[in-house]
Amino acid sequence: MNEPLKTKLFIGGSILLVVGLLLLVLFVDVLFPVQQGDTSAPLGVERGRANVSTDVSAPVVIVEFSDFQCPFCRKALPTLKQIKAVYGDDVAFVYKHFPLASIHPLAMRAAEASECARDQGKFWQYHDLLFENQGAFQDDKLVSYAEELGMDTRMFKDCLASGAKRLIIQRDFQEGLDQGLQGTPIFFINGRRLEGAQPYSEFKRIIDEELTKHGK
Amino acid sequence: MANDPHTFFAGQRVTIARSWKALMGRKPLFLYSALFDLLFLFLAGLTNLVLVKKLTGIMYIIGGLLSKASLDVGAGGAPSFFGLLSAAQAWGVVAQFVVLFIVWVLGLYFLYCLFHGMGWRLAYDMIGRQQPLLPFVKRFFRINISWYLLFVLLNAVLFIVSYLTTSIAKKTEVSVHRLWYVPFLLLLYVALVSYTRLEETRATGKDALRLAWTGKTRLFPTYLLILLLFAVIDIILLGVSYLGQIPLVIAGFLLFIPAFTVARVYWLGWSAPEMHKKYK
Repeated sequence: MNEPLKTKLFIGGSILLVVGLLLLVLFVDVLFPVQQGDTSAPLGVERGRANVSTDVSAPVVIVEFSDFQCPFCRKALPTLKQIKAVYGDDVAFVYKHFPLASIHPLAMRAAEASECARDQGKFWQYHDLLFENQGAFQDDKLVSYAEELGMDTRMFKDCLASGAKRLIIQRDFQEGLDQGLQGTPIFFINGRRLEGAQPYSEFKRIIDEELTKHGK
Repeated sequence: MANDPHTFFAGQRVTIARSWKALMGRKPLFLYSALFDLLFLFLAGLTNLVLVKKLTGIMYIIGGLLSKASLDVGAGGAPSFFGLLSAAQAWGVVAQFVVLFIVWVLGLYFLYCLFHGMGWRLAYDMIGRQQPLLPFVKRFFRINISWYLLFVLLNAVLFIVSYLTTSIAKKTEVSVHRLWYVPFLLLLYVALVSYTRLEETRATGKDALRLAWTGKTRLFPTYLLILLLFAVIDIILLGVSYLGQIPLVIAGFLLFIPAFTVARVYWLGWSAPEMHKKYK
């Protein structure tokens, strides 16, 4: 093949490849249709759910998707306590389980234990203890935390052994996937998404805006 | 002689004067070269933007499916990673990830070699050393295989380091130290040295490595001057960014795009073999 023809073929081939790549990039969602979760799905904030700190009819509801073994969830805890201290009953907290079991192997067990604590009305105290002792989530430790909070340990042990709470956690997890969650902690403040262990000022800004909407 | 600052600066003055003459004397070539760089930035930027977003999305979906499978498997044992993939029925998504990843990596390699290869060929033209198109671009594709593989490897290491040291709270956590960029700059230096040898039919990466090392006192300061040029442009653009988006885009086009051609001509003028002989 002579040189000018080769050059023409090279130029033609290159143009085709560039156009092909451009088309692939432009139509990537059509060619590679992967479900990324229905982010428009409404968040379920069940009235009366025991891991709601106060009445969900409060003007501002913060739904947190969290993982007991996640260091950034622990980092966010003092900020949440500060919000509770400042805003009192104007802000309700909902805790949803999003244990990243592939990187935090003990998170699922801790989540189950927290739901067992809920049965005895001690979810939030147990939640705080888990974050204080992050990572020490072996069964005997989980039982010792229950004991420390004065729970009925036999009932707690039975609950943990039965695996009955797994369904609640799976339901929360699915809800997180439907929201397109990519990690923890993720907060929804009256539905407005806030990612990561953000400073108090970020929460305050959104909470104040939401309270203003409610005439507070 | 290379270490003699007087000779070095005299040589720089001559090279800058010659480069200016080469650029101004062949304005159409300068324009074509800038156009290729513009096309590269647009196409590579678009490819990166879309595919990285898509790949990240798929990666998170795989992570989510794996976590969900871990929950479903429960405390009944710790299955292997591949076992979890099967349990999560994630193989289809993984296959999509692999295909898109390959398209992304090869696509960027192709775009870089094509548009920058044309740019370097035009730079050779501008300094009066015209090269036949096809063999030159072929050599450019070939010599970049090693550099690109190293580039991908360095990025993989950087990704792993940043993954291990950050979390979802990445917005508030800076984890990758700037020193991590030094290997990238060294790789760029060696690659630039290799581009000065593209006239040779059998130009190899090994030769370029040798020249990059033996000629470091002559070549490396010039390379740093080129980096300085881009750093100055960056600072100017930072200043312009306060004026708004439109002035920034205009200044970016006017400064950044031609700078690639200027840098190529200047680098070739300084590093081409007969210049070595002349200033040895």
